[in-house]
Amino acid sequence: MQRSSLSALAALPTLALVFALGSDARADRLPERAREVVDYAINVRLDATAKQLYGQERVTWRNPSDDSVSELWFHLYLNAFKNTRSTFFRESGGQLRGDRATSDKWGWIDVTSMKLPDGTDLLPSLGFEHPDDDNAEDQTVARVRLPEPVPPGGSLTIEIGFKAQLPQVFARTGFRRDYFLVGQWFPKLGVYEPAGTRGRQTGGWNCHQFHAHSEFYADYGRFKVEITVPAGFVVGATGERKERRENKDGTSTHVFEQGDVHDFAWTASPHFIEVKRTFSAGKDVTAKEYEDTARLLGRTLEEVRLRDVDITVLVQPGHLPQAGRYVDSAVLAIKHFGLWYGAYPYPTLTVVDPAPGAGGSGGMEYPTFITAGTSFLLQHWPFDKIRAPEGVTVHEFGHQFWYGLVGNNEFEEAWLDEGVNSYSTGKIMEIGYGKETSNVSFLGLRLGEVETTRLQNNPERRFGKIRTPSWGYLTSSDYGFNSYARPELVLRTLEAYLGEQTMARVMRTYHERWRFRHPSSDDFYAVVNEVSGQDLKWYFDQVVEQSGVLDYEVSRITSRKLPEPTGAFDRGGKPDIVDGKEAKRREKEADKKGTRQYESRVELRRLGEVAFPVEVELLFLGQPPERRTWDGKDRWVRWDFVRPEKLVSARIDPDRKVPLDASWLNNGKRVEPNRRAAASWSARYLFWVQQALALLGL
Amino acid sequence: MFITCALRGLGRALANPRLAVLLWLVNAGVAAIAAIPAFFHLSSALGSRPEGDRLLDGFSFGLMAELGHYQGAWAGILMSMLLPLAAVALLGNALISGGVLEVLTAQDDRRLLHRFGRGAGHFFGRFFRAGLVAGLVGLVVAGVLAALVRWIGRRLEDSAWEPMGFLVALVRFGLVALVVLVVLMALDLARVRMVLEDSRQAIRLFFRSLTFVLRHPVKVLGLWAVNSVVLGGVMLAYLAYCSGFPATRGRFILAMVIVQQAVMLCRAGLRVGLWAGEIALWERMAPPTPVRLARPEPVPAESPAPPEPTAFASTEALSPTDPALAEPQPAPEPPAREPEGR
Repeated sequence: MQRSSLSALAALPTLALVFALGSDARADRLPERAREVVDYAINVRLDATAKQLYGQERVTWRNPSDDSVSELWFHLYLNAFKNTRSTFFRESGGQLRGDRATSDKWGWIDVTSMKLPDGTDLLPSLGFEHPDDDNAEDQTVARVRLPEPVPPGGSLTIEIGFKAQLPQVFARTGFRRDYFLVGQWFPKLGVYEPAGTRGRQTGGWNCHQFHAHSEFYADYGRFKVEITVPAGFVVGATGERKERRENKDGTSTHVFEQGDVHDFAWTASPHFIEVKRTFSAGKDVTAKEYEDTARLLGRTLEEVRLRDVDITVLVQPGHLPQAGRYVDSAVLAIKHFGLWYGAYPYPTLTVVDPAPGAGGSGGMEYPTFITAGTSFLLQHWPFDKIRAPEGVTVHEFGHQFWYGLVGNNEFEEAWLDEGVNSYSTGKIMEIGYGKETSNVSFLGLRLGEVETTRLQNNPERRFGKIRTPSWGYLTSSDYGFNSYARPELVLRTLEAYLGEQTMARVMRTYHERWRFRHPSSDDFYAVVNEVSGQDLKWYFDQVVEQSGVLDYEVSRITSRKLPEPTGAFDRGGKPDIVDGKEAKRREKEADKKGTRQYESRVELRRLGEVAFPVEVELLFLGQPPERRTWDGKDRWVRWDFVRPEKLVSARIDPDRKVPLDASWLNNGKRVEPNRRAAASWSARYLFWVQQALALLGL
Repeated sequence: MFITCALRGLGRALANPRLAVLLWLVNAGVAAIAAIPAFFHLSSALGSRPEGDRLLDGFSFGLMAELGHYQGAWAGILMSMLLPLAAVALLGNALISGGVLEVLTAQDDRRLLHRFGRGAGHFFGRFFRAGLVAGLVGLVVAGVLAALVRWIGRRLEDSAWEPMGFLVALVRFGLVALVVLVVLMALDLARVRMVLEDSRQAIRLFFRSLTFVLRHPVKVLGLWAVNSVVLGGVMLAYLAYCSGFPATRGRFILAMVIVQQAVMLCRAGLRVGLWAGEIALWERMAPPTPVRLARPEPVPAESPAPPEPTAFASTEALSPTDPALAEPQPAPEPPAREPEGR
């Protein structure tokens, strides 16, 4: 899987030059460290038989605001799986992403102690909160009142004891047999947002309940976690492994540490096979790629330089032949995300391949730790060209940038991580696996990223808007479309509008400016406006802030020989009476001479609510295509032409620069129909109906 | 033995090309009821849209999805036509079987269409009854087996061996397919016996044929397998043609249609061959008792008109309850048969 060492050697002199020319601007633009608001030191023991966790947590919180804060808000996410009355269960009905909860394998977390270092017991003041839906039976958010407020800039340390029962995996976290994916497992502080953060007028806690579709939001800090598991278990986790010790009681303890992250997850199973590979910033990226990226982004070579990353894939024995697919796609992702947005700053990346039957824990992101997922079928022809393991690895790695490093609020503005990441992922999948085949190339069927995403777009998608809290959508499908697919289409359309270079610089600047911080949609718009030099409020207002569809069509097209006018005319002062017969004669004469004109008409309509400028290509017989731009603001426009050439066709957005358009089929129309495609597919339809009838004995 | 019977069946199909053509015409005619509206719909939806030309380069998920969204009513109508067509096919199956078996077994000089129509009408009722019973038996047995495998699958759900779930699904599918196949073969054989014996005991013969298939699975399924291998070869050849000559231009589209219909003609011929093979198999396995009346001698044109030929033996004389016919035993030699098509 290593790239050719020869090409790497060839690149060395150029690289040396590249780095010699570098400047110190990188440190100015790309923050090296987060402002660490929290420190967690957790000691946890896994009872692999009872599927329980016993933990001791010492959390230190620094008040980042100018307020005196007299209470702390915690997430107790595992209580989402406590019973069918939790908000998560009420909203999801006990199923998520195709997985269903097991009725007798619930999960929960009990806080057994909560003390200040001086021994003050905080447990009596602990109570559950329901800020989103007033569901009194939901216990996923807790608030504790402090005896003394934490002053601005001050800090507080609390000792917490907890016991957790893991659910059987169906929504991200839990166990399956002796496989454990432990996420959202410890009492985790919410985010105290100072005034001004994400448009807040006053400071306050942002700590939402666990919803069916929501993900997470937390503050940056340092984690040191000691995980004790039965000896023989292979453990992977967020961050770097600092120590591993075997205990006398038949267990082993694994110590992981990581700074500048806002969550911690881990996995354990005796069956994992570890596959390791180092991403080499010198060998895996060519000098030309560095140069091209620097030019594209308007950055120095030093600014776009990447760092080495140790990749560990924890793969199931039955999926070992696919380990290379995980590794290669992780390398692809580290390279392109890093080049485009800024180097991945952590030294490790762990990719987890979930156990059979634990698919619900797959496709999830945590800092430096992602879960992917595959099936044994995908290692055999012809299914090996279904790029699910690659797609999910690239996407979850992408969350290291959009969710991890740029820590938007996933509860309230999921599009800023899922949507922006889908846009980035799609582009990288196209680079790695081909534009038309980036997702599927299976027995002649091809499915590229744009087509896959557009499959979800249609004229019915007018009831949801992108900027909506994730629990505020009418349906799950609306959440998915408006958080993933639509933002991807919005950003691809924006890229076509601004140009590739401007868009690349927009995204780079947005990432640099908001790395290790919590941006909102408004912060994103501000960067777009600043870098592009345009006020694009009209665009974001329509496609992010409001619901609506973008759809243009060529509604009518005609082209006919111009009839000779009839009636009484003055021709050079002499009367000229043209009756029908005379008109016909003149038409014939003009036909003979070839001077007859064509009268053509094109009507375009805006079917959707969203107005967007579009290019229109007109094709006249024997002439090169002509292009016009329509600002698309009116609901319709009509163009008339009188020319010697017959109009053949009219086509809106001929270069497909507006993937947000709900239908490309109605974008064009021709004067004379061509029934070849209809004939070809009707014949196929006939053939397969015949086959079906033959199967039924006819 | 089954290879000999299969080859003999195919030989008889080749000797009756008009029968295969007739089957193909019926099949194509019924299918056209669904395909012609599809053509007009696609023509109106795609003909004037340049984007529709993408379908000439191959299947497009995106375009199909857009057609579904924008022309949903049409897609619904097209899909809803398939169910009545399936009903027509199942009814037609009883008619066609009677017609084909009559042509293959009757020994008179009437025109093909006459013999076909005569058999179709004469046997429709009993074939339909047998078909209903076969469907019911297949449904019950397949349902019970599928439920059993599903129950076992649930017990194995927690297996750490990932292919287990896939394997269980595969076994379930395989068992259902096997049940369907066995029932269909039994139905075919029952129909063959009904024609040969002109028996009205449709249900009883179905169950006896089912017993026969279960007692001689290799011979019966082997016959089907030979036929399927040939059909598989034809289909592979078709797919190879399609990948080699994609239907992107007018003449290639026309060529594709011709090839498709040639494939369907082959399939019709193979179906005739399978029926003929089943007749041959039954004749080999059954006791050498002639069950059909000798074909009447051709009557000279000037002679007084003979009574309408009765193609069938008196059922009283050859009661299906006759122990000799109740359960056939392997016979060393096939019974002597009148040559076809004289």
